[in-house]
Amino acid sequence: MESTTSVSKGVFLFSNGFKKTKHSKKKPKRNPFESLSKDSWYKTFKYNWNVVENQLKELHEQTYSILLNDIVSYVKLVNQEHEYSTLEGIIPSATLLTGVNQPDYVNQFLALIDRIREDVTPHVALINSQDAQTVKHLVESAVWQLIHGQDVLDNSANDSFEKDSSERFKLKKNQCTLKTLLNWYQAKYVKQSPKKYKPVAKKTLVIIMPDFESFNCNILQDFVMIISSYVQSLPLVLIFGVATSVSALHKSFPYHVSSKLLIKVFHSHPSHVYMNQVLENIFLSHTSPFHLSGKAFELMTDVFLFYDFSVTGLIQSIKYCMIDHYYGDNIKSLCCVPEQLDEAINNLTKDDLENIRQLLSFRPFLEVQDCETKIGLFEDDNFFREILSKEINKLHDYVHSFYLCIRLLSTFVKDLPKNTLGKTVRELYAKCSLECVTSTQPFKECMQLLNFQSQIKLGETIKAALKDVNTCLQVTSPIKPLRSTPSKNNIHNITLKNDLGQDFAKTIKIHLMTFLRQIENASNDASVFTNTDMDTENDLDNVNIPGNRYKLKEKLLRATRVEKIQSEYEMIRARFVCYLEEVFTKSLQPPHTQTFHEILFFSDVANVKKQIVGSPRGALHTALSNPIHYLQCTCCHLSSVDSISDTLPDVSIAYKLHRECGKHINLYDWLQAFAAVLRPDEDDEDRYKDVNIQVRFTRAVSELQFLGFIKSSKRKTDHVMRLTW
Amino acid sequence: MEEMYNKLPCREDQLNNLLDLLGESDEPLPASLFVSGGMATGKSLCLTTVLQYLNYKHVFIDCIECYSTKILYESILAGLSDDYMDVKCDSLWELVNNLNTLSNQQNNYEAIVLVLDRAERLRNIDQNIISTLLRLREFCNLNICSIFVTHLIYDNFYFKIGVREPIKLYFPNYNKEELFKIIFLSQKSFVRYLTTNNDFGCDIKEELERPELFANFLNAFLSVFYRPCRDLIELQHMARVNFVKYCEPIIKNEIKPNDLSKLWRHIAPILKTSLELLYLRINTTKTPTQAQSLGKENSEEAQPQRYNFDNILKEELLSTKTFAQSFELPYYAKYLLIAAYLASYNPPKEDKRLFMKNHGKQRKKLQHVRAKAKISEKLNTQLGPKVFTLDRLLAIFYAILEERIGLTSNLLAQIATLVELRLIAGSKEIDLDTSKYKCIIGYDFISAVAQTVGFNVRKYLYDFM
Repeated sequence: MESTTSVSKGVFLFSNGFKKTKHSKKKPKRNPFESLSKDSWYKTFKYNWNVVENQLKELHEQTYSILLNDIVSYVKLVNQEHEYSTLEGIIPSATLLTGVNQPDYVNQFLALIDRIREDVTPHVALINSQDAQTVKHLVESAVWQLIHGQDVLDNSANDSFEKDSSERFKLKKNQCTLKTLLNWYQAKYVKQSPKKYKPVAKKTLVIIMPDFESFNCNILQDFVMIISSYVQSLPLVLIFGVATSVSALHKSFPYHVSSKLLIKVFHSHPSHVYMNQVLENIFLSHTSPFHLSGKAFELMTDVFLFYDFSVTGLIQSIKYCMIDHYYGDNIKSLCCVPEQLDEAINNLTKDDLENIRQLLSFRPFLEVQDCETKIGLFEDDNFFREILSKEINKLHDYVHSFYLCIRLLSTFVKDLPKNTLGKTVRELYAKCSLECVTSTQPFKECMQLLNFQSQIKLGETIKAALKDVNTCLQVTSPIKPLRSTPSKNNIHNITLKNDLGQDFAKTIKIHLMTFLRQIENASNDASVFTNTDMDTENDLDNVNIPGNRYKLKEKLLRATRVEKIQSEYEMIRARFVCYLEEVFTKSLQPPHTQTFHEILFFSDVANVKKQIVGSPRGALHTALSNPIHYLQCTCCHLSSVDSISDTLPDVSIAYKLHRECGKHINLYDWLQAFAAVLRPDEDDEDRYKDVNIQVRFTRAVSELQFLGFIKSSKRKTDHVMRLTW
Repeated sequence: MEEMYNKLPCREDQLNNLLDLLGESDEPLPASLFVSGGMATGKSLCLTTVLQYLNYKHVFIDCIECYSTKILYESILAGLSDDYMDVKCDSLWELVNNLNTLSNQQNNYEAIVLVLDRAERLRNIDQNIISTLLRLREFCNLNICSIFVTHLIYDNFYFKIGVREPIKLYFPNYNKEELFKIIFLSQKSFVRYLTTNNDFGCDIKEELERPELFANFLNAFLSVFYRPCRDLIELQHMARVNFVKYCEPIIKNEIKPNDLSKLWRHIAPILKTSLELLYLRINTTKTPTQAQSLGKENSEEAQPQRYNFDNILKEELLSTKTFAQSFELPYYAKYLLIAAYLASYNPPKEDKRLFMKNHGKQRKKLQHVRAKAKISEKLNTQLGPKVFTLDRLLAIFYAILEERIGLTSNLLAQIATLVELRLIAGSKEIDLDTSKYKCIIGYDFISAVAQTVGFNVRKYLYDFM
């Protein structure tokens, strides 16, 4: 394992996200864990993760498609234009600017290969820098892939000619030179095509190098020069994946090489845009039952923004959180889509129910209830089940309107000057789920600013907001008929808010539409038409839910207070902002105030943090200064971290002693101190002469050296250098 | 013969020389020729035309392709024999053997010519190869001649003492008139290039096809470009790009085709901007591939895409600042990069002074430093980066970063990423004791990066103290 080398001075070559995949693989995914597949939590996890994965795939396809289309059409075009080109030996090439985190873009390149195979040509070679240590390797692997690349596709499809050719070109790697490629190509297309494959045009040969920066420049230069001498007879196209910028290309190619290239630049999305997309469309939506609490979410985004810019890593960490959330806990099987909820609840055992009763968020809920229900909740499992299902459905409804409101808030807040709340949905989510946003200062400021917006602008924002609501409704509408529980809510008197969820979205939609109409129709003059005003008021009353008296009152109050100074538009605007505030206060309650939020929301950050943000030096330090942490033995119990006892492992003693020294450590002194720890009773002179102690000391020192804490120094005899500080 | 001279203008002397040397088919060929001259001076073209004209058996080998000697030998043999599919040849003696069998098959003393293009590469392969190829005729019974084509001068080939010296032939660079003549030869293709991509009326087409127009353009073009660039291929390409722009107003009927001064005023600024790109070597690499791009000032973006990357790209190449700002790096990676820069350009002795809050004895030292600074002012940032260790990098990183963060594996992985992206040079291998790095980016770049995180680099540079 690589982790053994993770000592103080190590340079860690984990590609980002790599470690995290390791973790997730260890967990229930693979065959050794088949026994788990019976547990209901595992099934739910698997189901949910599959949903997420499919969504991710879809999203990938969407985001890549435009770019890939561009590239593919370019490659096609190059193919056609090849005959025109009068300049000699110039290789058409596409440069795809990816982000700095290249492992993220592996999928993109694979998708690109698929697309090219489908649309343009079967001959595609993908060469990684690891395969190209020398020109020889580079050429060989390129040619080999070009020749054999389409065998994979064609093994069943084509007739005898195909078979025959593939037999003839069963090549050894070392025979793959460009000459062979040329011969092969001519045999395949130039000679055959007039007779048999008339419509089949010459196929382009595409060579893709996804990590341009890691290639040795000299090798690439040579490769380009070689290819350029063949490009007249072979329609070759190069595709480079460049992580930094186009100038990397110019830096590594001198003039005589770059003049052989014809570069077209394609930009892929910057990775933070991509991350926002992933988060907003997949994880920050009510479609998935699993949610991250504000803290966990912040951890993920921080790792992304501060450390690695790796979307794959982000997704893997979220997956890890998900596994951690579900693992071994049957009550988490309730964390599923609402349709399966009833079944999941019925499958719960008595113990599980008891566990649920232990949840912290159950208590405040309990306190509100009257005595009878309390007893019922504890005694009667069936009754409890019923309540549970209702509460969780309510939670789902809450989640639904929570996300809706976050989106709305983000559309309203996005364009405000010096925005203090944050611009993206993810920032807002992090804020909203940590605290009650509506009571914070930034939120109030934003609402104030909203109160100064112009008519056109406000109209536009409302339209955008309406769009949000509509998409939100569209997503959920097919599920709706399946869910019957919310309608039953009225039977029991324990319901707290039954106006969240779908219905909430609908009312918001209607309200927004009304406001929009009003705002569009409103005149900007200072004169007040009381009649129309009354009309709109009535209009609003009709659609309002009748229970909201307070709101109406406040609205009227405001209207009367400022009527004289304001124009009609201003009045409506004030009312609108007021309305927004109210809506947001109602639905943007942080998740941890909700009953049973533990089931849907993952919040065990401290536990996950260790796994997601590994800190090798820290771990090493704990291991050496406090071995009991890992050894779990009885003997090494220390009063404080700094104290030393002779029962500790030798390395640990040596480590602790060396921490007390300066830059240079005198070996003799060190040995004496070491001996003093081990044999406190003996005489100073004798104890270090003991061979046993000397051997143990030598070994401990060399272990420390191996771990990278010290190194021998030539400057001072009998001294070692300390490498850490 | 005449045709050949027409095809290759301004190379009459060289052609004559070649013909004198190789031309008589009943005489033995010279053992070896050494053809040198700058890039794009028609060396290879002359040779192939002459050889084709003389109808000699010849093999053309690009030495850059011969990463192993085996390929060199096999391509020689494959070129000479007719059944070229399965020749196996691993070593020099096999080559000689094979050539000898070839000579046995031949009845007459047929002339064979080996042309080794980019012969400078042969120097790196094997010491013996050049000497052997120089006197290949002595080893086998063939009328064979090896021609070395290279852009280096003869003195750069450290031939062994005592080798038979090849006959040297030098191709000088073209001068302005010659360049004019040669580019003018391809006038038709220029016009065709223009017309295939646009469609317009016949009268305009006629105007465009007039050679005077092209000649005028070429005069203007060469007057700007002749000084910085003598490379024919490059010039041809630049001419092609700019000719399109030259003709634009004519096509749009804005300027009359015979209004030379107006046309000149139109094209002069355009040529100047392209000249800037010439120095950056970027537009040699890019030609418009599509019709849509013709209207664009910058030809490197072939499609007018919905993104407005055009100008960004150009600016990116022109200034490091915008380049650095367009660069997306994680937050800590930026700080790591800054730390690497500081570590590279500050002497390690001064670290304490620069990065620690209580370093004591400030006054005395400051004066001392000032006195010293005058001499060493130019040194650090001018002399280039110094090597630093991982420890130092991390220490500086933590010193300049205000918040306390743990030393996590993600952070360490970023260093490897920076190395991978060629912002820091260093060994990729894990070496516990001696992992040494060097920051290989300039001051402009780092100050732009630092600006994005709100960090003042100057404050921490010893040179600016």
